Amino acid sequence: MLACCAFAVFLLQQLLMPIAILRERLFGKKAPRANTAVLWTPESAVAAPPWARTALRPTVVLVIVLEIFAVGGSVAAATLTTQSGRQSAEQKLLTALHTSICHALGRPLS
Amino acid sequence: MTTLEAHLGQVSLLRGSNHKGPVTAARQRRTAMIYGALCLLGALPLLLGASAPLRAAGVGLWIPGGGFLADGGWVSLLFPIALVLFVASLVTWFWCGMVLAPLTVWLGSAALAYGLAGEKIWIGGPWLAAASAVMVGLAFHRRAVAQGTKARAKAAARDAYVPESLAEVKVRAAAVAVATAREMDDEQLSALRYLLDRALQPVDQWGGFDIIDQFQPAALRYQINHMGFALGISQRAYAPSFHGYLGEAQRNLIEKYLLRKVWGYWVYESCWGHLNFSNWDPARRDNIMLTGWFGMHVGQYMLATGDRRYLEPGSLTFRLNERTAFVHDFNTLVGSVKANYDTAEFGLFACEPNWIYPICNHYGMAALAAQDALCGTDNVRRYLPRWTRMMDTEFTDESGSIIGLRSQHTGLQVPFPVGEAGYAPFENIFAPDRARELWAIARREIAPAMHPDKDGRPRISLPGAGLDAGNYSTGHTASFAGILMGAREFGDDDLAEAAQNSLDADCGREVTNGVRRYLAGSNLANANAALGSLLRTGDFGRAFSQPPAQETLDGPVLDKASYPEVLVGKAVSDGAGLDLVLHPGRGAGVQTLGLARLRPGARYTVSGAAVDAFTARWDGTADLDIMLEERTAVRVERTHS
Repeated sequence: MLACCAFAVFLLQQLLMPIAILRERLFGKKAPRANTAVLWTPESAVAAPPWARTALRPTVVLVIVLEIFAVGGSVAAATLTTQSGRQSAEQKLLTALHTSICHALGRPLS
Repeated sequence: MTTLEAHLGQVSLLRGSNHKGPVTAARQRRTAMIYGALCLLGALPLLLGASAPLRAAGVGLWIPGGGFLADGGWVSLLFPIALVLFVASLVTWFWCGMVLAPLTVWLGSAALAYGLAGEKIWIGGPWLAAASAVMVGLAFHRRAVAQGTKARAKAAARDAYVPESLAEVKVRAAAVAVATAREMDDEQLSALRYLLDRALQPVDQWGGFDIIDQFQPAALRYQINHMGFALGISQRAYAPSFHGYLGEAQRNLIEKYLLRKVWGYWVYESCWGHLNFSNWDPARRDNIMLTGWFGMHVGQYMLATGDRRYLEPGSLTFRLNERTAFVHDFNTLVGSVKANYDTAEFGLFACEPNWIYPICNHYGMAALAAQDALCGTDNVRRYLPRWTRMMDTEFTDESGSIIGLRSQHTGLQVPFPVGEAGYAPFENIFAPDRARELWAIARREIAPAMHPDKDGRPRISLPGAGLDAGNYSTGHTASFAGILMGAREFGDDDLAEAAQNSLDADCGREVTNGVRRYLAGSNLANANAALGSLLRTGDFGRAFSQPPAQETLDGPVLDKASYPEVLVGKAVSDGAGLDLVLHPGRGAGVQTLGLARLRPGARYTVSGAAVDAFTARWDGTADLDIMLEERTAVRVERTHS
């Protein structure tokens, strides 16, 4: 059966999530820091709290994009793996991609 | 029988019973029937021996992702992922009213299972899917039973202590401060400056606001409203005769609210929640989180100042772009609340599509009360009886507490952290008897957390890490500020002092250049902390239901003063004269005050200024120089010669 790199990454990501939560439970979060929005003064002339722009939003966007890729990849790969018979052009492309990634990792994933 | 006695009797009946309101029960029955129909529909392909893809899709209707189990093999691993996605879609539905999200995941996963099916299904799949669905159902049932047991125990405890606690609240809440003697102290002025700094920046600038998302509690609209409430309290209770920068700050906040950045969330929620792709008027259907809150805010400003500009048609226009604008004013905003109440089956109506928050409906009813006070309408008399009846029957749990959140479509309730302390100040606007009962419960349930600190001063220690909804962080700033607000409103000074001490000790209090802030809290929590510092007994209730005395509204005003050079601790007129208490905000120096609404050409005597007397100009204005080095009381009085 053809391995699906995207599917593996997706599963890994979902499996690591509880570990991340557990780690946070055991060792706590990073120490809370002062809210930069609250620190603002008219003299400081900071238009908006930098953390709101630099941390949360890109993280959310990144997670959404990764989720879309992972779901799309797993669906595409699962579709291809359940099909039998002749290889489509897409399947050939996926096989080539898969092979190159596996070679780069130094071992086959399946 | 008084209203309170009737209410207590009704709530006592509800407490300890497995009561469910008729509308809630009907919605839950409908939800169960729809789910039952889905299960039947899903079972049909299995019973009729349909193709494998159809059988897999059918099993997918029993539980999200169940079809993957029927597909078997590696595809079965998609089942837990689909469940995780479904939970995420429920959160999205709650977060921003995206009704389509859970439907898409559930039906989409069934369709995907159809597409991924082979020539036959895995025989164990349907059994495993059914078992999973039953287990989820049992888990929810077990949780509901446990909550019911806990709630009944709470109800019994409450029945024992509420009468005594209520008697204490009645005594404390009756002691109202004398309006003419009110003056902000240094601590209150430093809290006020936190708000003024933010509100006096240009309307399109957002320095000092938390900017995270515009859907849930960290949204700008809530920060704006609560900052407005605090400024309005300072106006109504301490400086009703000061217009100048205090009025400008409040109007700036109202103007900020009209920017698309603040209310544009409704465009998205209309599309994915109401499937409405053409009319995004924010004050039409649902959205009490805008109409109720903003109506309350604008109404408070007009009541406190006597400024009626927002009654003018088009004065509150929400502009989407150059071509499209939604034209409103205070009366149409409140009119939207009333129109929604008129047709709300639950008696209360939704914020985001589907989600009914009783707390937001408290803001809505307060907006109706503000319109009564401003325009002489009789909203409270007309709407409150049904509102309270539905609150008590559809939104009250077995302990007698108000349910935080209910799904309009399914009738299911969802945990949402608002307690009696959160509701009480709002009900003090339009239903003071009910408010006192709520506070009688809140104060007793907070009391065990009170204890002396190492210096013997009272403080509160709350369990857990806490939650600041204003920026989704941990910490107790928001909780302490909420307790402070409630305690001040009901004259519970011991508890208020404990909450204030806890804020100061635990929440990163900092005073820089005369501005107080709590670094561990969000902007919203800081606004509430400032509001709590400004409140005294009954202030919150009065601010939305009673204007200042008519002679104050008609008398002379302080119309111009420099900020932050001149801090106004008090400004009250008795109709003929004007009493001011001023503080320097940026060092000592001569400051020029602009007075207005004087009698044209009349002679006035002054104490506390650089001159002893002056004559008003023919437009009723005058300028007055004062040397401001420390707290300075100024009295302006018309002579009768």
